[in-house]
Amino acid sequence: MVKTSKYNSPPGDFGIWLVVYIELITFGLLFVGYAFARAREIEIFNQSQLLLDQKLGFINTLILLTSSYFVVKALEAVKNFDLEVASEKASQWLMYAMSLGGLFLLIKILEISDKYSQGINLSTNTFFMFYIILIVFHFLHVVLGMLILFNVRQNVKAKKYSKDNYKGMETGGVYWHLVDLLWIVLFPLVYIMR
Amino acid sequence: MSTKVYLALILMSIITFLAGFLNLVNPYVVGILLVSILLKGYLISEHFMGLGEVSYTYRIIPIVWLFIVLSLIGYTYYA
Repeated sequence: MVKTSKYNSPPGDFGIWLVVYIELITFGLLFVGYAFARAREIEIFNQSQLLLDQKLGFINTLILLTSSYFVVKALEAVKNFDLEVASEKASQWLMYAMSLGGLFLLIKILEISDKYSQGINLSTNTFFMFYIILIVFHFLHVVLGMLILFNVRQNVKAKKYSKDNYKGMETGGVYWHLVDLLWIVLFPLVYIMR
Repeated sequence: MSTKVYLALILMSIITFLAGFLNLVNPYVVGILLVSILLKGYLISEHFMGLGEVSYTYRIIPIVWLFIVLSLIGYTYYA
C-alpha cells in the first residue's frame, strides 16, 4: 500500500539533520568506546560507578524528557492555533522547557563540582575519564540547545511562526530532542548498567 | 498522542532507574535495559523529532544508529 502522507524530507532545515547525524556518530563512538573500555576494566568501572548519584541522573532524565515534551507542545500550539493564541501558548511552553533545561544544567554543575571536590578528574581512572568527557560534552550540547530555544522563543514572541510557517521552530526542536535522545542512552549506560 | 509517548518514556525511565537503585542489574536485566533504550529512542525520533511523518530513508537512520551502538554495547556485556 502506498503511504501518501509521507513527506520526502525530515522536519526543519536539512542542515540540522546533518548536525544530528554528525552528533550521533560522535556520541556513538564515545558510547561504544566506554563499553569496550569497561569490558577491559570491569572492577574499576563497577567500583567507580558506585560513586555516582543515580537519583540525580534519574531526576535529570525526567527533567530532559519533560522539557522535550514541552517543546513538542509548543510546536503543536503553533500548528493548531491562530497566530495570537499560538504565540502566547508556544511562548509559555518554551519558557517551561528552557526553565527545565536550566535546572538540568544546574544539577549537572553541582554533580561535577561534587566530583571535583572529591579530587576526581580526567586522570583518576578510565571510568571517570569517560564520565567527565561524556557529561561535559553533553552539557555543552544542552547549553547550545538552550541558546537555540531562546532564539526560537524570541521568534515566537515576534509572531514569526504560524500554521503555514514553522520550519525554523521545527529545526530548533529537532536539536533539543537530539540532546534528549543522547541522554536516554548516556544515563543507563553510565549510571545504571553494571 | 504526544502525551501518551511522554508518559511511556517516563515509565520506561522509572523502570530503568529502579533496576539500578534496587541493585537488580544482571546480564538479563542489561538486555532488557538495552531494548528499553531502543524503544525510547524510537519513540523520541518518531514522535518528538517528527520522523514518523517522513519517508523511511530518514526514519531508519536514528534506529539503525541505536541498533548498532546498543548491539556493540551489548556485545561487550555478553562476550
